[in-house]
Amino acid sequence: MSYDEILLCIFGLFLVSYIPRVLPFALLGNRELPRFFHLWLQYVPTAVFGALIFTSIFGSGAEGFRFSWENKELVASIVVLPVAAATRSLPYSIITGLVTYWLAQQVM
Amino acid sequence: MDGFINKKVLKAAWPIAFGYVPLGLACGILAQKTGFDWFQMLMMSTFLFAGSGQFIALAMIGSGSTIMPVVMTVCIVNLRHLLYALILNQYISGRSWLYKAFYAQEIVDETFAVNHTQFVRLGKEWTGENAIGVNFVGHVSWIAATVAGLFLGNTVYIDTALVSYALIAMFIGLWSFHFVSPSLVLTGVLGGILALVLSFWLDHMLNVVVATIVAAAVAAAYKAIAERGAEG
Repeated sequence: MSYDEILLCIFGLFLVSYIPRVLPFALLGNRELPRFFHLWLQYVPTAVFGALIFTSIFGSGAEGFRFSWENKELVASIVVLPVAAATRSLPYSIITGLVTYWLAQQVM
Repeated sequence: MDGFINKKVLKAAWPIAFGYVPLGLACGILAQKTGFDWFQMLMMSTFLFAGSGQFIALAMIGSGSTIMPVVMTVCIVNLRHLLYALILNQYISGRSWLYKAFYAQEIVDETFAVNHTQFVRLGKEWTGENAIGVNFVGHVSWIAATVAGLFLGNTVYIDTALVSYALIAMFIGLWSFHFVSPSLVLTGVLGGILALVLSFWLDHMLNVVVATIVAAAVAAAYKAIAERGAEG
């Protein structure tokens, strides 16, 4: 891509990223939503982070899962998870993760 | 001027900025290798503002992709922001159009998780201005870290695997906000397992979006049936 093509690409990226972000605000407004929808929304955040974490650690089936103890992401996460659960703190989770992953890199 | 940037906002927002420093630097270094200049980096981090979306876009541009495939891939990768907006709408539905239009641009995993937690925990004590403050701190730190990474470029060495792990650790931290009931933890595990199963057929995080929708629906159905049972 040329310099200008990259800028055009960024504009396209803005459009396709902004539309999903703004659409719910534009469509739902102040409308009262059905009770089941409310219940469903309560479970979306935990489900999305569970899905992001599992796929970041194990990869994808199409490319072959990383189900092994050689998997440093898995090893580090086994340490980070209890720390996160105990502290519910973003900084502690990140620091524990970086230190453990670094140690795993040295040892494994 | 209480509200936009104050102690309460900074206390909630600083962990995002903390996590964005290594990630943003790595993103800027990748952009420099892709041939971006500081202006392109600034535009990308301002108008796209998406961690994984930017990494994927840069990797695709770097490998010689044309515009359409990049745009379509990032569109799918960022679809999950739609779910976040659905949830946030409950808390900001009374605000002006301008506010909502501005807020929408600032929705990413981290700003969503932090604001959502504050909205749930603090109720009306967490104002719309506070939320914008968190978004602002997150977005500005992302822009600053990515542009700084671009200038550092080849002069520093960053271990990509280690930095990528910072993102996973951040996700685990964001997930832990929901460790308040067994049903919430189980729903997350279900979402994770479903996403892995779906990854045989769906890629670019579409598996994450579908798994989330299904896992949350299963949990909600279970809750609805349990409540009906309790009433009857």
